[in-house]
Amino acid sequence: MADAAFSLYPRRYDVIVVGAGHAGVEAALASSRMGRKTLLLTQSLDTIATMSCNPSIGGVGKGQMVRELDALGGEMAKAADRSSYFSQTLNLSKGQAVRSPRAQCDKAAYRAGQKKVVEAAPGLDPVQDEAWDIWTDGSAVRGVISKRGTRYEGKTVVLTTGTFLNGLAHVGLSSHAAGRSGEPPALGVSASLKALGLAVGRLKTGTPPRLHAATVDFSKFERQDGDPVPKPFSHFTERIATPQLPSWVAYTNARTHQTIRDNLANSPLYSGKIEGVGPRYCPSIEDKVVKFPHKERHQLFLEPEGWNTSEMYLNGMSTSLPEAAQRELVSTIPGLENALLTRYGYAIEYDFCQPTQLTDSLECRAVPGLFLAGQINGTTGYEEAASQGLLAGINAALRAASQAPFTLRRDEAYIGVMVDDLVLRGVDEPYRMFTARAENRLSLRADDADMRLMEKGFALGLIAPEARERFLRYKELVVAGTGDKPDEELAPWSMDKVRDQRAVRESYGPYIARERAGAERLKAAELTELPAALDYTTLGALTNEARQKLARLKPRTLGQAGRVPGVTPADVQILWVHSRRQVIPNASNVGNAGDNSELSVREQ
Amino acid sequence: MSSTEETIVALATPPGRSALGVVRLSGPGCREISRLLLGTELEPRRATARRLRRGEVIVDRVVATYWAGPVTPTGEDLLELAAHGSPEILREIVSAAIEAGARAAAPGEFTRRAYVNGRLDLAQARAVGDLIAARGAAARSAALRRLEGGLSDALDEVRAPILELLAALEVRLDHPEEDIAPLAPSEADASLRDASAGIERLLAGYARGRSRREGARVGLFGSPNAGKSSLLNALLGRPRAIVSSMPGTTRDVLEEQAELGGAVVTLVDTAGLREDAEGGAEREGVARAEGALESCEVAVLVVDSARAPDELDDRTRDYIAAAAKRRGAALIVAHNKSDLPGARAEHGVSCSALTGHGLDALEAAIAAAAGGAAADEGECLLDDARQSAALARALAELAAARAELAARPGAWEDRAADRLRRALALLNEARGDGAAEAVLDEIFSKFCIGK
Repeated sequence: MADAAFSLYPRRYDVIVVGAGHAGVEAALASSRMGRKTLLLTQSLDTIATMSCNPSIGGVGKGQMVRELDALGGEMAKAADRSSYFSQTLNLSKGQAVRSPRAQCDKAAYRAGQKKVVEAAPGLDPVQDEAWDIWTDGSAVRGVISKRGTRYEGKTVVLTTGTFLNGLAHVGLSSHAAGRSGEPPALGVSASLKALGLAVGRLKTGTPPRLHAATVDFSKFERQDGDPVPKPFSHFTERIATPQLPSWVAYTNARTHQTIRDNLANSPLYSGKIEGVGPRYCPSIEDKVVKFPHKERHQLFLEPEGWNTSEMYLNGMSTSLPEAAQRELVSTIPGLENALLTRYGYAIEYDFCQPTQLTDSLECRAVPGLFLAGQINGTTGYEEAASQGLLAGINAALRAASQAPFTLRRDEAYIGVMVDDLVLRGVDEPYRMFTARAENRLSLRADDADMRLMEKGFALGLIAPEARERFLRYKELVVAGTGDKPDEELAPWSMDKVRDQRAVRESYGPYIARERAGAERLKAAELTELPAALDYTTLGALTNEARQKLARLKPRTLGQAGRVPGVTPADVQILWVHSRRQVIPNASNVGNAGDNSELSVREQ
Repeated sequence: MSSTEETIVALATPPGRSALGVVRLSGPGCREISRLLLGTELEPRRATARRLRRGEVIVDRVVATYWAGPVTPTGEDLLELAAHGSPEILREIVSAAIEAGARAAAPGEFTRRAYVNGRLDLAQARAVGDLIAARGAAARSAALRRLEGGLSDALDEVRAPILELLAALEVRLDHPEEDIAPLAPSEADASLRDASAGIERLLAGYARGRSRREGARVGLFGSPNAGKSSLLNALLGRPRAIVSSMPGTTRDVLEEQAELGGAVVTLVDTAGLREDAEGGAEREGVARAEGALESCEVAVLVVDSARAPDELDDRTRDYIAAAAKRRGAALIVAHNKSDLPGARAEHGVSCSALTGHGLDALEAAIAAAAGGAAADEGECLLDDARQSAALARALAELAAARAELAARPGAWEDRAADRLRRALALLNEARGDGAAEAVLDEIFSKFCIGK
């Protein structure tokens, strides 16, 4: 508990990052790379960048985000490339625009690699201590107070606490406080957030059991290998040189389903013990069997947890049934009759902050200087967390230097889509990226993340400037559509990449043009800033719903306002009138002119 | 002060004397106004009999009902005052409400508030607007059906196969590692064909819908000076077109809506069809008349029955008859000037624009022909140009999706999905709402996703 007799930590920081998961690592690295004195506080320096669930990075939508992260100067793509043991490009036959990279990674190597990068980063102090309280000065943030009462002073704070906030793990009907399996939860921060006036909700996620490979009969499964030539995630990785391992495909059967039904009474999910809402797209095996009773089998994957371990991840079998039921469940699968469960699956409930309390730079509106990223914002997935971490780290660094925020639009990046969805719509289940969420899917491709975003990465100082000249050469060759240069002048880009990119742009030409035209039409609204002081409660012509929501969300731009659920096109027209009215102050005329235009707008 | 902060008042029942008349108020002032007029607080949702006073004078004994917003038809507080159906009493009540702080509602303002407050979708709001403007029994029932959600339902029905196919595509694009069978191109093509057929049916109804709302177009044709313009004026009961005894003075095509024998029609007066007219303007008028003939469902050929037909009359008659037949338009021959000596009527309707003789029969003939043009009342019809344009564009997107399917059998899905998304957005636009989350909901309700 934070003590009255506190001690002030001797170093002062521009940015303090709490939590060293995928979001925290990106935030801390971005901030320190931008030259800010950065503190990375974590409960355990041994678990930096832990892959607490599946051993994979990327996938559809997520893979695009990892490429975007890389183009902006993030670390995740390189970390995945360093530890990749199985790599594949998904959706090869469904059109270039939805092709997505995915890799399975050695968890230990991933973690070790990220720890090394963190330790090598100049200006970044990794420190093991437990944050307990947000230290504020009236409303603005001053730093963080540890459990033992140490005060860490920082101009800005980035909270990336994952599932640790009031974490409660469930196995069967027994539950215990935990952040992840075997790790203690973070108990102080949640109360601190509530005390600052933030609304805190409850979500749930889960993970499957792990098995001992020596007890598995692999002859009963279908072997799956990655692509013959593994494709790197990072624009800067030349090739994947790590040893490749196979995965295995298995299926549940009628006996598995019966075992689950027999044990539902002991399921924390179905006995009403778990209150948090889980994701629809990452359901537990209990959910799958109950909600889709007619499906005869569900697919499972056995994935190695790494090169130097015998533990296998049973992808598809996320469960919180009691331990005995889990053992029985696993043994119904041919090939797993004698499998040893090295770790049991569990469900975990945790606190999150409804992200509608954030600006599009992931800063709390109520607490200037406090940024939130990752699962604390109601998302799920390493990639979603890392992307927010990068954005929050960049913005904390910018704010610490009193610079304007950095934001991404929906038409620029999946990361922009995600943040926009989070801060304007909020979440009612853990948020995961899908390509279905992006309006401009055919333009937001994994193959052109660098074309879209790398200039920004250079401008922010997150990518070493040496590569810039080569990148610009590459970009120019692609855009020009003709000409060539020797590969040595382009590396890590190449003429092959130039030709590929030209072909894609040609093939999707009309679609890309249409998406760009749509984005251009919206741009005016995206660039129209709404006055921060706009009092929505006085805009009577707005719908009641719009008035309330806008007053709460305070969107920064007209475009954002238009995407708030419940805000109608007519409301947007009215806001547009008001945003213009601010520009032309004419006290005597304003009221009447405004009302007339509202009416005329309405009647259209 | 902005509009929704005001309380509006209007007579809710048709004007005129009847057993009962209802005055309706909407807005935040309902409670206060009811207190001023009735001298008491009203319990929500309970009809209460009270004396209504304007100043010190008792106007009537009314049944008053108060509903608290936002769960009311307008989304605001609502007050209904049912009084005796005398125009004087009702006028007094409206005046009393205005003195108590309400404002007279503009036409359609209750509806606009309902839409603004999210109580109606755009299609429904538009239908209410049409209801207010619609004249004629047939148009009224079509508008009523749309208000009941008929048009929204029809659009939903068209949207369903697109939403389903898009969800099937999206689930395969976003979850390739799932155990879901690939989508067969032939299956996708069949869905696209079905969806297209649905939109085509709605679009086919559009032309009919338009004729119902604007009424069938009834063109008056004939030789110059046969009295078309006088006949038009007689039918409308007031002067409208330029009427002169000099041949060739009607140079423009004039249109006027009228209710003839219960059917709404648009009467179109044209220049006389003469080939030897002098001057460019006349020729232009003739061209316009020919154009009008192309757009009419009913052609009324006006002939001067007091005069023996000459060669021009014969040729005009033949031309009109042939054009009407080609278009499938009904042809009515009106033998005008029946009041003049020597007037003859062989087949057709004998009438006189001057005396009004035979006009009833002519009206009945036109109504019968126009009624035939706008048939199948029960069908719900699209009759808004913007909605129809959105549907036509949606149809084009579906065609493009089919083209991608045919052109790239190995890599069509991302492009086809883009076409379907746009088609869906256009249908939502026609419906007046958006539903991006609908696709995800569809996916998660149908497929078991995730590991």
